[in-house]
Amino acid sequence: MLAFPVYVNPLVLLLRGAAGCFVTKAIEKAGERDYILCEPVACDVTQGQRRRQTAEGGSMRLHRSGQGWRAVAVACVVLVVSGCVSLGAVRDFASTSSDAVQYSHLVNAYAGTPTRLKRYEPQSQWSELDRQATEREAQRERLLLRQKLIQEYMDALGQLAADDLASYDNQLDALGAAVKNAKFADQNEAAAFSAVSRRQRSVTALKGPFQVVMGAMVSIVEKDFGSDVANERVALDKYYTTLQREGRDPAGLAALAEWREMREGQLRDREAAIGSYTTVLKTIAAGHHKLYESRHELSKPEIKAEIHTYTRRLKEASTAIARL
Amino acid sequence: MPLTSADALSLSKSFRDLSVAIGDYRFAHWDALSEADRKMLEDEEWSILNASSDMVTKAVGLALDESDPAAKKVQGATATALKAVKTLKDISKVIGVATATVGLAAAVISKDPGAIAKNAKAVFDAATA
Repeated sequence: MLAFPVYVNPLVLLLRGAAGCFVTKAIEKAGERDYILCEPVACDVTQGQRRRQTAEGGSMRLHRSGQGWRAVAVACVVLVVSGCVSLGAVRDFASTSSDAVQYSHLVNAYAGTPTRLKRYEPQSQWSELDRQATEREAQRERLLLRQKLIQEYMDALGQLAADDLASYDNQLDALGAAVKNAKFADQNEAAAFSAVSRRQRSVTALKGPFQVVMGAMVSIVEKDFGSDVANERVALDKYYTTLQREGRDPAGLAALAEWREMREGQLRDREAAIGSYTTVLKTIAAGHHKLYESRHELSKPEIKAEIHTYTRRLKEASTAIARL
Repeated sequence: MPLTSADALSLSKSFRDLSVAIGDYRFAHWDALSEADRKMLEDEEWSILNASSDMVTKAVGLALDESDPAAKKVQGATATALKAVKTLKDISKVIGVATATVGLAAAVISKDPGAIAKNAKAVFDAATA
């Protein structure tokens, strides 16, 4: 059963449009792409139901009036105006970003540092380390949620870049402008109509907040997690150097050296992972910024090529993490 | 003035450097120091290193707090975008029906029985898709 959306019923708009002569204006308005509008427009179910009833009435009137050819013209023009802009590059970038950002190992390692430090530190320090472990465990949840937020945002961006949706968005623009220009009695309908398009564009309006979130994550991973590894290395050095100073047994000292090397290797791997994951985060931020900057020309080959470069960089960094 | 994440990170580095410096002194003067002195210095090193670790924890917490308002906006926009995807998918279906209906209207006007049947089926298919 066909379910009309709450916001608008394009069927009635199309058919109502048959009575008007707003085709030219529709084309002109469709070309005006304002991607920075993001205010929501309230629209309740009651309105939608009212429009549905209107749709049936409107359709009946059209058949009686015999002005169907104009409706054909409107529909054809709207479909031509919608164009066939493929957003495959945006979709790939969004999908790769969503996959790449899902890496919980570093967050878990950070949360576990105080507990790991217990192996190096005297028992007199353990209560302090337990306190820090509790605090970091609470942070672990927040950090993972932040990663999930980025993942979901990029997923949403990918869905909005689906070719069919992009096409319908354009159709909605043209139809919305047509309704507005034709000065139909129900202007609320026109406002609700264009609101749908605005909702789609709201993602690209998020440049500021998204960059703040990404900037904070980059800082946490690159600097804070980096400092955390540096602290663990200092603890490791103190512990093994002290034992090696005090040790007299050659076999014991050899075993200690091997253990030390193994632990140092683990820290090197974590540092490498921090480097690669920082690249992932910075690339997502830079790629998103590029999308925002190029929002009016996403179909240009050179822009697509640049977006592909970001996607490739993300894949390389993800592969590097996976190898660790 | 409240502590920022950058301040906390900077303090963390200062504490770590201090702990390393005391450790370097302890190892450099290992034989000259009594066991009790070495133990006392080592305890101080661990306390200072843990203070550094605590500052890292603070830096992370503050960075999360500072970016919370922006994160809430991203969260809200994501929910809105997903709702828009759903709406647009619904609308895509309606547009399909609208286009087919227009075709049917044209066929009726042209009084072409074959076209009417074909377009009627198109409307039915679009509506039941």
